[in-house]
This record gives sequence, structure tokens and C-alpha cells, in this order.
Amino acid sequence: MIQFANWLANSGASQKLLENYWIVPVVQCIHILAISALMGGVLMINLRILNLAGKGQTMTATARRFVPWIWWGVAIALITGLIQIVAEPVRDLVNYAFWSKMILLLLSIVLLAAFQSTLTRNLAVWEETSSGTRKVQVLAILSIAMWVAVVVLGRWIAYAQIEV
Amino acid sequence: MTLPHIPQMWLDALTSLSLSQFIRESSWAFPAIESIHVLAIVMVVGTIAIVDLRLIGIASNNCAVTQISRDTLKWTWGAFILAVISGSLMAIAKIDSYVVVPSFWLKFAFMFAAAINMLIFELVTFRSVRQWDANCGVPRAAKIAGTLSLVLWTFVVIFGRWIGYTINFDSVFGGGF
Repeated sequence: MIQFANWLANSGASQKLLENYWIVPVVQCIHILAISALMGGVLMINLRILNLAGKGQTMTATARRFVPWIWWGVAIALITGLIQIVAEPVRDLVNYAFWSKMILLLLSIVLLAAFQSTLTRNLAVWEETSSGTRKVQVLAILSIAMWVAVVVLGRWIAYAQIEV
Repeated sequence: MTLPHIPQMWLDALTSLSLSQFIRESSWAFPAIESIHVLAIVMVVGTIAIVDLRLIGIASNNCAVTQISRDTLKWTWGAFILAVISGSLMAIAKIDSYVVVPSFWLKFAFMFAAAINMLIFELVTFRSVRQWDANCGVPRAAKIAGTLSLVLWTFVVIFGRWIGYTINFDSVFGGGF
């Protein structure tokens, strides 16, 4: 991974990004804003399942409102994240905080996709339920915890850099 | 840019607190507090945006404004308190280096503007909420308040992030934004 990171660091794209030193901070701002949008959605859906917010709306209505925003947030965060990796490959790719974040991100995305698929398959059931079953509520807490960890580990990347 | 001047005595008093000393010297305290700060801010901005988008008419239009406020704002305030506490802890630890950074003050200027915007909305525009609560006919003043809120909070995030690119980055960023 160090070799790959070094190769990427020496590439023209990476050099270009670093020469224009304002690009990384600007991209980071967009990254944070995208994460804000998706976190708002993550909170509202999971709090709805836990019966802590949005009781006036059905489960399906809440999901319809927020799931697309989470996906868009994820998409923009991935693009802006990739730009940051290309700009500073060694900082990110040779970093345990980065890889822990990626694993949790992947799990969170799988959970979101699973939620979306069970929702479309059992639309009638979800439309009726006032809150999630015990199992779903546990998953909702897990989902919030994993996204929180993704954010924390994301900030931790800056502090877990290895001097190569 | 002329920045507000804080008496050196006050800065010294803050930096010499044992709490500030601990945060400065510990290897994990500052990153931990900063992570909580980022987490709190994405929650503040994320939940405020939900209400703003409803006011503007972009999303949640089938949900009453009062209801969406009830659902989100308590979480917004909870996260905001967390952001204030974590932010204060970071600030007192290195207040000397922060007060000379334009982005630091600009961030507060935009937060202040966001607060004024919110107060005007709450005290004036929101009073007639019954007439436009459940339908899409949100008055223009509310749409403006929602748009302003989104823009102002975006700048709070931008200047907040920029603080980190100013301290020790003087040679690159000229010490300011």
C-alpha cells in the first residue's frame, strides 16, 4: 500500500492538486457539508424507528424523504473523499483510522441498502408499523453508532498519520 | 483585516487554566474533543437543513412546518450545546493562536448572523405559522429565512474548517482567508 500511495503521490493529478493548495480545504468543506446532509437523514430515519422523532409521519414516508438524501450525501462525500486521497495518498492510505473508517462506512452502506430493500419488499408492513421491532431498533442504534464512528474516525485520520 | 482585540491578561488567564494545559499537553484530548466538535456540527447543520429545506419548499412538503420543527430542533439544540462545549474547550487550550486568525472571528460573525436570522424568523415570521403550517404556501419571509440559514451555516462550516488551515499555515494561506 505504501508503494501504491507513493506512486499516486508522484502522479501528475496528485501534484496538480497540491500545487493548487486551496483545493483540498475547499473539498474538505464540501465533504463536511455532504456528511451533514446524510447525517441529518440518518438521524431522522433511525430516530423514527426508535420512536424518538417524526411520529407524525409513517415509517415509509420518513424513509422516502431521507433515504435519497443519504445516498446523495454518500455520493458527494465519496467523490470529495477520492479527491483528498489523490491529493495526499500517503496521509490517507497508510493510516489505520482511514481503513477503520472505510470498513465501518461499507457496513453502514450495506445496512442502508438492506433497509431500503426490506422496505420496498414489505411496503405494507412498514407503512403500518408505528415503530420498528426490537431487532430493527437494535439495528437503528447500531446504524447511528456506526455513522458516528465514521465521522470520528474521519477526523482522526489527521492524527493517525504515519511519517514515511 | 482588523481583528477584535482581547486583553492579553484574559488570554493568559484562559491558557493557564489547568484544563487548557491538559488539553494542550495530552496526546489524545484535542483530537477527541475535535472529533466530538465535528460530529456535533454535522448534526446541527444536518438537522437545521431539514427545516430550512421545508421552509424553502424543496423537501418534506407533505409534513407540517411545526411538526418538522418539533422533530428536529431538540436534536439541533442538543448537538449545538455539545458543539459549544467542545468548541470552548478547543478554544481555551490554544486561545492565543485563535484570536489572531480572521477565520475564527468570521465564523462567529456568521453564527451571530444565523442567530439574528433565526430570532427574526421565530419572533416575527413564525407567529403566523397557523396560516401556512400544513400547506405549501410558505410566506416569502420564511423562504428567505430558510435560504439565509442554509447559506450562513455553510459559511460557519467553511470558516470553521479554515481555522485549521490558517494556524501554522501562514506561509501558504497568508495567515487568513
